Amino acid sequence: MASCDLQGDGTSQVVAACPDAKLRVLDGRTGAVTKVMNILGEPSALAVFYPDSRAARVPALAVACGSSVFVYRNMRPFFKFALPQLPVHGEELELWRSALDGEESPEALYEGLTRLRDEEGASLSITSAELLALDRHPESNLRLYMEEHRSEARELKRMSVVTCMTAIRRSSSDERAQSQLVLGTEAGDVIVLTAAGTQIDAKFRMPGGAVPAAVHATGLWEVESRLVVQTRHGEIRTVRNKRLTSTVMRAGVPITDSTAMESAVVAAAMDGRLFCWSPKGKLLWTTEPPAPTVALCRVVDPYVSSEALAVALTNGEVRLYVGGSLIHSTGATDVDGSADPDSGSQTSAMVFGPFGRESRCLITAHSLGSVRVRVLPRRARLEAATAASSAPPVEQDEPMALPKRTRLHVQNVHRERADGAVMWRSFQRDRKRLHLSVLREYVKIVASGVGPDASDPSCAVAALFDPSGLPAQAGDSRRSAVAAAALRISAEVQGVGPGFSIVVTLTSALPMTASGARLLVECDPAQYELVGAASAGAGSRLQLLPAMAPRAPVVLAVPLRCVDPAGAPKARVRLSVLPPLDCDFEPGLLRNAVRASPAGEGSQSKPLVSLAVEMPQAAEAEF
Amino acid sequence: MASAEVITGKASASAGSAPVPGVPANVDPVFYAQLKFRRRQYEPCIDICTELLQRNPYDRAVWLLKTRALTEQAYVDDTDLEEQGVADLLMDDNAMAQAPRPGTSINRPGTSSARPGSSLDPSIRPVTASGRPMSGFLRPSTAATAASGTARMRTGSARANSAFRGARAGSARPLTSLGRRVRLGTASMLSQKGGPFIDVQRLDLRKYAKRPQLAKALCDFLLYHDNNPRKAVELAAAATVVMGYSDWFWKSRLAKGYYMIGLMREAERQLRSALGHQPIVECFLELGKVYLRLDQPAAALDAFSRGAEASPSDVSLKLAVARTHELVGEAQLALEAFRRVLHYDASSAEAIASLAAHHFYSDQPEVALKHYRRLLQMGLFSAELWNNLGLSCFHAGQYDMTLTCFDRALSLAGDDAIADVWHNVAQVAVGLGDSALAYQALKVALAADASHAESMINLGVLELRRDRADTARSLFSSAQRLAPHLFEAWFNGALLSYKLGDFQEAYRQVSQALEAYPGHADSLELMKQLRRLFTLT
Repeated sequence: MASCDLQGDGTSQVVAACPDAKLRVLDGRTGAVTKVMNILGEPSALAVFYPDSRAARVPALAVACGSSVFVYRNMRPFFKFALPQLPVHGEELELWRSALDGEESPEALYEGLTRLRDEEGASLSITSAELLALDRHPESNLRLYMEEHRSEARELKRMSVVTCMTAIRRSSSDERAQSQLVLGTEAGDVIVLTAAGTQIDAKFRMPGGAVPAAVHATGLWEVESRLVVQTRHGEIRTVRNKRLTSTVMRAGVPITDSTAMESAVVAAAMDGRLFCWSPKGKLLWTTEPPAPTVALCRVVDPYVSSEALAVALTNGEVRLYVGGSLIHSTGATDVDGSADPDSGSQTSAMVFGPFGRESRCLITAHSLGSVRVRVLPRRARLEAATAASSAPPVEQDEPMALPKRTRLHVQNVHRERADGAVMWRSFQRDRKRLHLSVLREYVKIVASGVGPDASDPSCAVAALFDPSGLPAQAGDSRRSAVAAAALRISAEVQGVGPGFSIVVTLTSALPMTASGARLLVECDPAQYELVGAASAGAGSRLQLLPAMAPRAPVVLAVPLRCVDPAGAPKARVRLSVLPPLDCDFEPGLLRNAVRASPAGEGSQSKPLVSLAVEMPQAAEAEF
Repeated sequence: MASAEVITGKASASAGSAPVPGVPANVDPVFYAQLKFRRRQYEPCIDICTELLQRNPYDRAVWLLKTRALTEQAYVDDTDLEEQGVADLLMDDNAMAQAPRPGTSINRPGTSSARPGSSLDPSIRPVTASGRPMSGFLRPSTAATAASGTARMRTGSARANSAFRGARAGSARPLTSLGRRVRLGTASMLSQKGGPFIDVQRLDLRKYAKRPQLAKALCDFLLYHDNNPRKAVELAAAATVVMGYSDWFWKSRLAKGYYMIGLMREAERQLRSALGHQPIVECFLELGKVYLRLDQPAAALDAFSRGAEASPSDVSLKLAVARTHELVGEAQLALEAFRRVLHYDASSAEAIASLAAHHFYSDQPEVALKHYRRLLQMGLFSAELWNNLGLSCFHAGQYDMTLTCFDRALSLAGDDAIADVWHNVAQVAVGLGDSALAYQALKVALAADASHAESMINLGVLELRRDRADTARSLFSSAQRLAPHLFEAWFNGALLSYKLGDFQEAYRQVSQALEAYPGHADSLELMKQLRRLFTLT
C-alpha cells in the first residue's frame, strides 16, 4: 500500500496492491475506489518513485511480481524490469542435456536431480523443480513433461524473486525529487536500480545468503544514505553510503516487522517486544506493548522535522512512541466513540503519507478489507513528555492499604520493651520443649514406619544422637530407610458402602525400576471383609506389587466390603508396603535388611511406608 | 427455631395401676415425663411415655409428649445452609445461569473481592476447596464442596470424584442425598426397640389435619425425626386447606418439606405467602436459605434485610446478612455486618471468630488476639481456638505465650485438626528460621493426615532446600492431585520444573496456578518468561 499524488494535481490517493492481482486506487477526496487495474500476477511489493526530474511531477508506480518489477505511469504500463538470471548448476545442465539427447533415461535424470538437490543443496532451475514435484511413477509422466518443456530445457534458466521493495531519493531531499528503487531478492541480494529503473546501480549480497524480508531506506543515495535490511534469519543489517556494514542487530527471537527511523532502527519481535537500535547497532530501548505488534511505520512531521513510531497492535490499538515512551494511543473505538465497525478485523498494513489534501495521515488497512485514515492534528507535537522515563513509577506514590497501628499494638510494644528479657527466656524454654516434643513424635513415626513417606528417618535420628557417625547396628535400618525415602503412598476411598474401594497410589522416586515390593492390607475382620481374599473373613492380605518405574505412579484398587454397617463409624484400614523377600528392590542396599527378616509371611518385617485410611460410615443397603 | 409452644394434655389420671419404672412413687408418671421433657432429658421422658402407651395406646397426651420428645431429640437447627449431598451436587436442576455476572453468584467468588492486598486475597488468606476464602467460623456450608464451583469441574468423572470425596478434609465420607439428616435419622432409629413409634404409612393424615395441636407435633416429627418430607407435605397441605389457607405455620412447614424434596421454587412461593400473613423470623431465614440454594445471593440479602426491618433486634437475621456478604466476597460489608451483630449480641461466637479471622489476615494480629481471648473467656476451649491464639500471639510479637498455646492445641486436637496444628507449628518454626524443626513438624503433620496438602507443599519446599528435587516433585504432584484449588502447589511445581528445564510441564502447571488464582504475580511472571522461551529460535 502506498499513498501518492498519482496525477500530479496535488491531491493524493492511496494505491493498494491486492492479493487478487489487482491494483486499487482510493480517491483522496471521497475515499471511494476509483480505479481497479489488473496486474500480471500476485504482487509481492509496491513502491512509488519519481524516475526523472522533469517539471511534471508524476510519480511512477512499481509493482513487484515474481522475478519482475512492472512500472506504471499514469496508471498505464510503462516498462518492466526483470531480475538478472542466476547461473545454473553445471551438473544440472549436463544431466538435462544427456536426458534430452536420449543418453540417459528420464528416471536417471530424476535421480540425479534429486541427489543434486538433497545432497549438495544446490538451487535448481524452475524446470527441474517442477520435474521433481511430479510423480515419478509411471515413467511416462516424466517423459511427457520432458517433451512438453523440451525448448525450455535446452536453455535452463534460474530466476530470482523480488521479496521486498522500497524507493530512495537520489540527491535532493525534496518531497518529489528523483528517486531510485531498492529491491530485495530471494537469492539474498539487495539491488539498487538506476533512477530510470532499467539498470542495476549497485548490488549487495547479504552475508550467509540471508534472504531480505523487508528493506527500508533513509537519506539520499548520492549524498548520505542508509538501507536497513531485515533478513529472514532474524537479523537486521545495514548498508551505509553504498557499503554493507558489519553491524548486525539481533532481537534473540524472530523479527516480525521493522522500520528505519531518522537515526534509529526499530523492530518488532515475535515475543511481543519492540527493540530500538542506534545505526551503529547499540540497543537503545525495548518496550512491551500490551498486545503483539502487526505493523510498524514511521510518522514524520516534516514542518518541525520530528518523528514518531506508529505501532499497530493485534487488539486494534494504534500507539505512537517517541524514544521508547508512549505518547498517544488510539483505541479500537471510532472517532465518535461508537464501537469499531472493524472490530474482529485486524490491522494488516499501515502507511503514513498524504491523503487527499491532508499531508499527514496514518492509513491502516484491515484484514476484512476496510481502509481507515487517521489525520495527525496540525498542533500535535511528536515529543515525549520530559523526564517521564526517569521518574519513579506512579504506583510508588500510591499509599498501600495498610491498617492503622492500633493502640493495642503500641501497648504490646511497651510490654515487650519492659519485659523483653523475661519474654525471651520463657520463649526459649518453650522452644526447647516444643523441639523435644516434636522430636519425640518424629522418632515415634520413624520407628514405626508410619506415614506416607518416612524419609531417611534413621539417618536423621542417628545424626541427631551420635554426631560422630552412624552406629554399626543402625546399618540395616538405614538401608531400608533409603528405599523408604523414595516411596510415597496415598489412598482415597471411593464408594458409598457397604462396598468400598480404596484407590492406592504409590510413587517411587528411586533412580531405577523397583520390583518385588508387597502391599499388606490389614483391617478389622469384624467390620470389613477383603473382597477376593484367600480365606473369607481374613483380616489381612498380602499382595505383590508390580514393578515401579521411577516417578510413574502405580494405582491399585483394593475392594472392601463392610460387614457390619451399623458398627463404629471410625474404623481404620492399614496399608503398608513391605520390602521384597529376595532383593530386587534396591540391589546392594536392601539385601542385608531383607535377610534379617523372616522369610515366611513377612508381616514381621518392618514396612517401608504405611498409611492408615479412615473409613466412612457405610450405607446400609446396596445401591 | 420458634417452635410451637409445648402443648400437653392435662395430666390424665392413670394412677392406680402398677408403678412405672423410673418414676418415683406418689408422682404422676405423665407429670414426671413432662418434667423430664422440660429439663431436656428426652431419653427418660421417652422411656416413661413408651411404658404408658403400652398400657393405654389411646392416651393422646402421652402420644403427643412422646412425639415432641422424639422430635426434639432429633432436632437440628436447619435455618442455616447445610451440606449438599452427592445427588444434589451432581444433578443440580436448579442452575440459574452458567455465567453469572460478577458479584451476583456464590459460585464465582472472588471476582469483586480478591483485589490484591485485601484480606481476601488468596495469597494472604487460605482458600477452601471451592476457591472461597476461608471463613473464621466453621459451619457446614463454609466448607461447601468443590463441586459447586462448577468452573473447576470440567470433566464428569472429576466432578463425581470430588463430590464423593466429601467436604471435610481428611475424611472420605460421601454424603447421602439429604446431607446431615439421614445420619441422625438412622442413629435414632437404631436406638429404638420394637419397631418404629409411628407407622406413617398407615396414618390417615386428613384426620390428623383436623386436630391442629396433634398435627403440628406430627408434622415436625415427620420432618425432623422421620425425615419423610413427602408425608409432611401431604399433612401440611391438608392442614392448610382445613385452616382456610391463612396459617403461616402450615405454609412454612410446606416450604420446609418442599425444600427437603428439592422443589425450591415451590418452597419460595409458600414462604412468601406465609410472610404475607405474618413476618416470622424463621420464614425470612428459610426464604434466604432457598435463595442461596438457588445461587441468588442478592435476593437472599433482600429477604434477610426485609426480615431485619420487621424485627430489628433479631441477631440471626443480621448474622445471615453477614454470612451472605462473606459468601459473595464483600469483605468490608461482611465486616460491618458482623460488627452490627456484636452490637446486639456481644457473645456471638461466629461474629467474634469471623472478625478475628479478618483482622488476622489484614495484618492486625493484635486485634485478632484480643478477639480470640474474648472467645476463650466465653468458655470456648478447643484445639482450633488455641491454635489461632498461638498464631496471633506469634505474629503480634507475644512470644512468651505462643508455644504454650500450641502445646495446648496439640493436647486438645482430635484426628481432624491435629494435622493443621502441626502445620502451624511448622509455620512458626519457619518464622523462627529453624528449618529442622519445621521439617520434623511437617513430617508429623503428614503422618497424622496423609492427605494434608498444605503440609505437603511446605515439606516440598524444605526438601528442595535440601537438594532433593525428586522428593519435592513427588510431594508437589501429590498435593496438586489432592488439592487442585491450592495455587501454591501448582506454582511451586511449575517453578521446580522450570528450574529442571522441563518447560512444557512448567507451562502446564503454571497455567493451573493461574486458573486457581488469576492474579498471582509470581505465576504471571513465570508465565511471561516461559512464553518468551517458547518463542526463542
